[in-house]
Amino acid sequence: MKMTGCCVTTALAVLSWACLTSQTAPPPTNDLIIVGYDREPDTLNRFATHILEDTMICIVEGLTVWNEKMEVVPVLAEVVPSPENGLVQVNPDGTMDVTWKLREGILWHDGTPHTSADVAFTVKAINDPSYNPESTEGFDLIESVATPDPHTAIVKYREIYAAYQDQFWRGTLPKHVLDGKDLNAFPEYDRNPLGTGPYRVKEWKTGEYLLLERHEDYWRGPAAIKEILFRFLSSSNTRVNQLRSGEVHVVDNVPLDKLDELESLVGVTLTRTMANSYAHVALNLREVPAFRDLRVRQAVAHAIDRASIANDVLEGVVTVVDSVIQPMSWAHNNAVKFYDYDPERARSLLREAGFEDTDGDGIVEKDGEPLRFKGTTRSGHAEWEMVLQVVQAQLKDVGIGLEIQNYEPTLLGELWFSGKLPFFLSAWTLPADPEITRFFASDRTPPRGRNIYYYENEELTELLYASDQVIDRDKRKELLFRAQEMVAREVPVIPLYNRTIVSAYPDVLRNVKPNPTNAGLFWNVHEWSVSAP
Amino acid sequence: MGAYILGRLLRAIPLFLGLSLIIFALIHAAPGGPLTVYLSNPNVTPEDIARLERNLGLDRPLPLQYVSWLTGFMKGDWGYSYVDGRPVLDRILERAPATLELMVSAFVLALFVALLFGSLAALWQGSWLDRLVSSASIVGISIPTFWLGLILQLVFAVELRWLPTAGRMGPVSGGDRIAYLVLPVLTLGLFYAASWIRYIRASLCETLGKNFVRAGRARGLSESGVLIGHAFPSALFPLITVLALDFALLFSGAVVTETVFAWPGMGTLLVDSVFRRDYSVLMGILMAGSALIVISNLLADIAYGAADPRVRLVQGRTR
Amino acid sequence: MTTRYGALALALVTALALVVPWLSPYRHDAIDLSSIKDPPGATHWMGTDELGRDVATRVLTGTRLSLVIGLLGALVATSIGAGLGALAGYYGGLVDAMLMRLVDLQLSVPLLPILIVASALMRPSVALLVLMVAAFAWMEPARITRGELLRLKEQDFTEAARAIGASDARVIIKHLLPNALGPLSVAATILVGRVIVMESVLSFLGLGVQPPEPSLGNLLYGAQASLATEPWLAIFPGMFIFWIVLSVNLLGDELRQ
Repeated sequence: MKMTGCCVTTALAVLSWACLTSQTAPPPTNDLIIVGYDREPDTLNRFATHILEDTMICIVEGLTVWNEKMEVVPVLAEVVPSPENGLVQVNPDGTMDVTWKLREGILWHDGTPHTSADVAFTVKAINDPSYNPESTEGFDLIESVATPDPHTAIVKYREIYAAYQDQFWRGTLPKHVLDGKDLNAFPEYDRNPLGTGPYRVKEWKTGEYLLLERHEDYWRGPAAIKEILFRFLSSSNTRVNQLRSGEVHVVDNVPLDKLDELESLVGVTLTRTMANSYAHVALNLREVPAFRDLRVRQAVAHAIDRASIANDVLEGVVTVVDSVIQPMSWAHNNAVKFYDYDPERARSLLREAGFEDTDGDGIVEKDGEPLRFKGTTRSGHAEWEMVLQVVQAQLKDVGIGLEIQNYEPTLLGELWFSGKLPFFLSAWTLPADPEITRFFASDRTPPRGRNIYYYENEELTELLYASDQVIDRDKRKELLFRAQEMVAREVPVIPLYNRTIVSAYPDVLRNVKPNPTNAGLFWNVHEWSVSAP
Repeated sequence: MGAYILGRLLRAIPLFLGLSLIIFALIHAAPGGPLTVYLSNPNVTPEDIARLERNLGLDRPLPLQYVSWLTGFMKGDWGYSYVDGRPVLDRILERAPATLELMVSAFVLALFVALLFGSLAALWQGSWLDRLVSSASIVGISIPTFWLGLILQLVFAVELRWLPTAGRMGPVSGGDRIAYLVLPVLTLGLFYAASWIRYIRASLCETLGKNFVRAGRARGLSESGVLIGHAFPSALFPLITVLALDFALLFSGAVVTETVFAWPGMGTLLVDSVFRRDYSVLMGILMAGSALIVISNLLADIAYGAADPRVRLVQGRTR
Repeated sequence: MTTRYGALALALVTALALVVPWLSPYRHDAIDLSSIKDPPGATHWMGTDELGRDVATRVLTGTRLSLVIGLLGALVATSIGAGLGALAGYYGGLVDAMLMRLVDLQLSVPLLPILIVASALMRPSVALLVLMVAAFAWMEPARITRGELLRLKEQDFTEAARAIGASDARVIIKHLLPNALGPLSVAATILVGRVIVMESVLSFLGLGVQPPEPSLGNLLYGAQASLATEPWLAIFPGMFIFWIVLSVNLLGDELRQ
């Protein structure tokens, strides 16, 4: 018995020692900020991923960036080109030249100057048929790049390209490092990219963390915070718990249902930012023939109680939206609300379209075919999984049978790009430029674009392409207003709500400016500092 | 002894080949096949897929693919991760220490607890202590590991804030190594502690009732002399096999525990790779897990044989 | 031991699983946005979830599914095991050697990792899930049956049956297998618990039974995210898995004695 007592005491001693010594999580200081990050990037190559990872923007800078008001501001460029400052020229033959003036005296982290040759190399690399970047948007319209001097790059487009200002938001690829390399498989760059930004990779421990250290010779002067540690914590539960216990200092994209829990947390600032992104339901007209009838699409729209989803399920954090261009954009049309929650109207629309519940199973049918289809969202995304279940119940209420089948991201991507998802709940995060052609033009179905609705409308398609060819903002706005209205009336997609990004960071962290675009929270990290409380 | 070891070794080889065949078949039977991850990239054309298939040898007949994969595997060429392009072996090796740390800690702790309480319960058979230990151990083998992990996390990390919630000590995170280990190790170790307690207790009880122990007592040996000299060795030899088999099974438990505690080991790598369809990494982990099992079985046989010469003869004859 | 706590506990949880979802005023999938995340109380005994659904009804519906999966899985695994074990034990020789190698092979499979990968790749229905788990759980019953048959086949009554011209199948099924039923039932009982745990682990990882169909494992998967704020979502499903597994383990111990 003595032995037992002895052992139990030892065990307790070890346990309590472990407990006592663990309460030394370092507070946020200018030496170190710890970020609880929701996913580990596959690569730090900004051109290789469609999710602009916050980590990358600390390392690799664009020629431009979108600021917290979603305005395009110059970074490595002297100015943002525009017709007004004479750097954009539309030629009589319908081509267009955009002149990028690069800031002088910028050095890559290895000390090599950043020049127009890097811009030209980037265009060449992206357009190289053997390279598979995430997007060739705009690049495929570039005829050539002239480099009259090291700080001037003249980009010659084959046709007018309205979103030219965003062409180089991902930055440039360093020619002196990457020329002649196979960019599809160059892990040295992917894991430790050469940039011009305020930070560089100090250590990347796969599965655990990415540690960035500041670049002492940064061109805007060294950042105040010496090191930033991104800990990869894929479980939102863990991120929130660690934020509460002080093990991490910054969490971006806090799950909306955690807001209550964190609001009472002392020393932590919570911000809510409307993102340039909207959750929606995509109706696939190719997979579900019934959706080709406008009345059926309208019935679905009328059946979904978006206000209740926003206010009850998501606790009023998000805002219901009706347009596919978000409120912070200059092109947003806020007068396109056509389909309120109205289950009665939904039922009668279904009846008009010939759908009636003749066999009494609660689901309407036409010619013996019940109106049933599969609904999908990303599994593991708690918010969307929840919303889809509410949508399922609301559709059931008007006699539409939705069967939920969710998939994890990789598999989802495959189904998505082959156009096999009949009813898909997800969110688009948009670039700052309000171009929506790729979503709605008839010829932009996958893989050429993101018309996963397989929606065809000649008038809309013409309108959209016309809007891409207009440089004048007022004229473009007029065209986009009409396009938004047409999309909202035709409802191939039902916008549900604007995605709101909740960011949590310490009160003592200054100059954090949450950003509505996918430039993310860290876009101005060089300005951040920790002040005494 | 040499012949015995050789014999065991020769049995391990077909076993390992069988396992590799199961794993290869499983991965290649999957819908979409190993290239799924590329299919979800809109900019990858069918021509690219064809090129990749050629490069990776996926256009060859399956038996040929199997042979070249297996020979590559034996030579340490485990292929490349589809997700980040790095060698699979590197990705697994960088995660292995964390998993081993967790498994070994849990194993040692559980063994210590089991030996202690298992023997005490057997010695005082029928006492309140025995009843307590026996009830606790049946509870212990019945608690689902992942739920236990969640509850421990809830109590000790979220409510009491005594211990970190999850993760493993990073370069600068506060606290020390042990603090991060405590909850995962308890979670993983409990089941095995409980099941070994049951085993040790049963085996000791049986031995203590046997003739040679009674004879020892009758010859006037002290109680501790009987225990240490006679009862323990003969009761605990079979435990070696159980322990070796269970050490390999700990790997399964570690997968769950790592997921709950965001422990950056092979288990979280497995689950990540499953969701990202990183087939080459999956095959690597499954093979590593199988190798672990085959090797620990082999070691168990050898240790068992070394400890008790009779086993060598008997097993040599019957199996 | 004469006590029957295991059987009692199992009967009780089975009764609850049968009766509660049926008697409950709530349907397991009835969303009620006016009572989201209510803690346990008089109207909702186990509280409500993030969509206002009654947790008690969901947990017991899940319990029902878990019990079905556990029983079916154990039944399938035991049948496979008894069949193969009987062949091995009765015929011996090459058949025996081959089947025992297969047992060795199966026992060496890293079980959970294989199941995780297999269920991620195949997205199994509940029935397939049962088969998958059973395919990796038949070895213990096989060994038991083989052992029993090896012992019994040399005995007089076997010889007698064969002497009067009974076929091999008849001898095995009528005369030998019934004698192995005792130890087999213990093994089967323990298997019920193991199958239930396997299913719930897979569902907990998001790979087994898919929501909105509630299973104890996937309820826990969903509850993970709100552990700190709505602990009841995690506590109750886990408690029921624990309850079932504990009662089958107790029952197994009791049967053994």
